[in-house]
This record gives sequence, structure tokens and C-alpha cells, in this order.
Amino acid sequence: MSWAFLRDLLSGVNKYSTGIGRIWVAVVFMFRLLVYAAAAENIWKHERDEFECNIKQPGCENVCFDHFFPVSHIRLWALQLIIVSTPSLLVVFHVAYRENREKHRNQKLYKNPGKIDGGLLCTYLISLILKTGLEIVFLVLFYKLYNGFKIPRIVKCDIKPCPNTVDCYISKPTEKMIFLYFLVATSCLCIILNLSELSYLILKYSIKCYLKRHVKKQQ
Amino acid sequence: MGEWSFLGDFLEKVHKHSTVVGKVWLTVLFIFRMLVLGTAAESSWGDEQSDFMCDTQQPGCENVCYDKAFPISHVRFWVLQIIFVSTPSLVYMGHAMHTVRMEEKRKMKEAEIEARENKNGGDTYYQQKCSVAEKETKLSGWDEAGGQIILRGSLLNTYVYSILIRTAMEVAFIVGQYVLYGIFLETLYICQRAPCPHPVNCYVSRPTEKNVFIVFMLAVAVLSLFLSLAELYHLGWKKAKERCSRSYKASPSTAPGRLESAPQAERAQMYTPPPDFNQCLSSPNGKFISPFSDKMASQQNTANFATERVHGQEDAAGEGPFVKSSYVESPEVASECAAPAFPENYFNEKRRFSKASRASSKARSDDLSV
Repeated sequence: MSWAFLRDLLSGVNKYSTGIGRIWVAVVFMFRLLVYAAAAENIWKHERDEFECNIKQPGCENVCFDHFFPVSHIRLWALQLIIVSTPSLLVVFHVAYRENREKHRNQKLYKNPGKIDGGLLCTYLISLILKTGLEIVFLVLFYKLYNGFKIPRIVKCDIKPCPNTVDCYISKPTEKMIFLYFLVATSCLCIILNLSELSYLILKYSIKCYLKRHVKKQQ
Repeated sequence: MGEWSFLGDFLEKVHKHSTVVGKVWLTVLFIFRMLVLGTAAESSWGDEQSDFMCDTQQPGCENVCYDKAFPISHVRFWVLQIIFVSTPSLVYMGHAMHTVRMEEKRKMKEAEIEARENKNGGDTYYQQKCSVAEKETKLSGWDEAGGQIILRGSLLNTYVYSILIRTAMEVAFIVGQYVLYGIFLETLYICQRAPCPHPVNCYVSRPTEKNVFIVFMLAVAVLSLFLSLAELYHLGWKKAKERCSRSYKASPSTAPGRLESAPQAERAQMYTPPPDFNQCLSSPNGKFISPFSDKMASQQNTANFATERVHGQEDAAGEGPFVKSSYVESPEVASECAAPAFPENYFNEKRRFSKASRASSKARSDDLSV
């Protein structure tokens, strides 16, 4: 199991997306998945071994690391990537359902099962809202868990069995911060893309509906 | 290394729609940057912190000194460099794919119009075709000839801008690397930062091996920069210079008109234009004509057309309608309107360089040629 699995899933999503949706997939691949796999993973690889406290008391380093990093940044980042990508699969499932229906009844029920209209439009809009919501949830989670998006060089720890307040040093804080900001920036970019796609679709289909009604009235 | 396949798949599509120099640039990117980074450089930097030794037993001193010496590791810096330098090409590819999709929709519309006209009678066919064609000159970068993407108008602009941004990114990252680390890595780093009690000597792991890779990656970045500049020159500056020098030599105002209409008249003779051909030519909208359009090239095209007619029979069997890329300088409006009257095999011909052409005949048929 690797990221190629997610990539293959998302490539399927690309077929049924609008233009902005395709840009979103490209941003997720290039600026999030690729940066995660090629760069970020290696930064956090040995974070536990490189975490050092100014004390020889056994167990102190363990509890301090656990206190300051309940969930490691990198694991949260991976979870975010997976969870934020999955609402797009709703669209794929709906299209598959449509095609299945056509096959069962042996008749053409839809002009084009992949065209975004009717029920598929609702599914698409729901997936967009879910994606945006989940992005915001993860950003808030990052902010709350780590007290902002900063990674300090030194943290003070006085949890048992540490006998006093000890200095603990985090490895590569600057590099981790650079990539954390990168994560936040790409998340915000994806939120903007989702919101613009949402407004574009709502506007397009309201205009379409309005024009249809207008033509009917004239007739 | 597998993670680079994310980017590799995208860039392979860009490969199809690039010029010769663009393809060389992409090959350099794949082989000398991605492959080298993924296979060799990463393992060289694998133990960068574990083997970063400081001459002190003070806990935490090594951590803070490493952080001060390497705010961002070389490998991560190069990963970001590759991503940012590749992004403009992806934007161009997005535009090209959008153009392809628009063209497919246009063909469907035309087919519908044709079907409708066949029912109602063919009187208004050419007028409609011309109005559709005039509208579609706004969608740049597509020509009827053999289903090829032609670099002109806004697609050419996108391509040029992508190269410009790519060049700027390349320069920014090279300068950034120099500002952060200089060129070479020193073996010894003297660090004074709390909690280190005094200035300590810290020793970088594998400095010589790292220097080899640093110099290599720097050289490849400079080579890529050079290739981008060469591509820019190849695309635009030559044409701008020719246009400038021609405007100095320019004779009275009728001459350019004659020059422009001459190839069209010749083509008209060769391909029997439809009755209202001149109506279509009457209002070429200057806004959508390629900034790089070139009268000399149009004359050259006439020679090319003649040669292609000769070679037409050989290539008539040809390859199916798949998207190939070639860069052709041609009067946009004329080609659309004159299209119905072209002989059948014209669309199936591969664009080949005639002997009259100055370009290399060794160029592949799916290259964007200038």
C-alpha cells in the first residue's frame, strides 16, 4: 500500500471534474502528495531519536516527547491528505451507480452518465462542501494541538518522572516550520479552489435554471 | 523514487506538446535532477544529522547547531526547486488540454450544424462556417491541419510566459542556494548558540561527497537555465529581431498587404476558395493574431505546401487522427475559412520541412517546429 493507490483513485476523479476540480487534483498531487512523499517524510523520520532532553533520568525523554507531540505533524499531515481526498470518491461512486443502473435496465437513462447535472450535481456540491469543511477542521486541529504553527527550538518539560523542569531540544525546527507553513499555504489554496468551484457551479446552474424558466414563460 | 512518478506522469504529457528544446529541458529534468536526487543524493544526505558531530557533551547543543547550520537541507531545497520549476509547464499543459477539449466541442458543434444544414439545404453553410471560424480564431492554438496543436495566440503566450516564469524560478533558487550555503560545504562549522556553553566545533558528515552533488545540481540548474533561455530565443527574440529589421527596410504600405495576400492568392489558386472567401478575410481582428506572426514564414509555408502536395500521395495512408504538435506560422483567419476547399489528404499529411525551409529536416514530426 502506498500513495500510488490514492493517486490512481484521484486520477479517476479527474474525469468527472470541472476545470477548477482538475486544478485542485493537480495541486493535491504536486504540492501536497509529492512534497509529503519526497521531502517532508524524511524530515520527521528520526524525530524521536533526535529529540534530546538535558537529563539522564530514564523515561523523562519519553514522557516529554509524548506530551509535546501527541500526534506527530507528519502523521496528521498524512491523515489530512487521505481524508480530504476521499469526498471526491462520492462523485465516482455516483457515476458508477448511474452506469450500473443503465446496464441493469438495458436502456439509456442519461444523456451522459458523467455529466454534472441533476443528482450528480448535488453529490458534487456535497463533496466540495465536505472537502472544504475537512480542510478547515484539520487546520484548526494543527493550530490547537501545537499552539499555533510554530515549532520551538527548545521546550520546558516537568512531567514525572522528570525530577525538575528540564530543557528538551527538538530537531530541525526551522526546516519543520518551513514545511508546516507550506502545508498551511497549500491547504488554504485548496480551500480557495473548492470555494470558487462551489460558487462557479451554483452560479452556472442557477443561470441555467433561470434561463429555462424564462424560455418556458415566453413559450 | 516512486514518489516522483506523480510528477513524471504529468510532465510526460507536457513532453508531447513541447518544442525540441523543451523536450531536451524535460529530459534533463527527468534524468539529471529527479533521478539523481531520488537515487543518489538522498542516500548521501541520509545520515546528515545523526553523523553531525559537535565537540561537546552538552545535551541539545548538536540539535541547535545543526538547525543553525542547515535551516533547510539541500535535498529538500532541491525537491522544492524541481517542483516550482516544473509548475509553469503544467500550467501550459492545462491550457493545451483545455484547447484540445474546446476544439473537440467545436467539431461536435460543426458536425451538428452540418447535419442541420443538410436537412434545411446548404445555402447558409459557408456563411455559418465563416462566422463560426471567425469566432473560433479567438480560441488560439488550433488548426484544422491533421488535428495538431499549433502554438499561436494565447497558447503561444502561455508557453512563453511559462518559460519566463520557469527561468525566474530557476534564477531565484540558484541565488537562494548561494545565499543560504554559498557554493561549497565546509567540513568544520563553528557554532555559538544556547545551550552550547561556548563556541563549539561541529563536523558535517560526508562533506566531499555532498560537495560533488551540490556542484552537480548547480551545474544542471545552470544548464536548465541556459536551455530555457535558448528556447525563449528560439521562439521569440529571433522573430522580434526579424520583424524589427524588416520594419526598417519596409517599403510603401501596400507592399506588406501584397506580401500577405500573395501566399493567400497562391493558395487560393491551388485550392479553389469558396465564393465568399474575401468576406472572411475582410476583418482580421489584430488582437488575435500571433505576436510572432511572420510574413517570411508565410512565404516559406507556400513553398512547404507545394512540397507537401508532391509528398501528399506518399503520406496519404498516414497515421490516424491523434494529437501531434507542430508550430506553423499561418494567417489564422484564412486557414479556417479556406478549410472546406482543401483537398482531402491535406489534413492527413504529416507536416514535413521542405528543402526550402531553413529548419532542420531531422526534427521529429511531433515536435513543435518554428
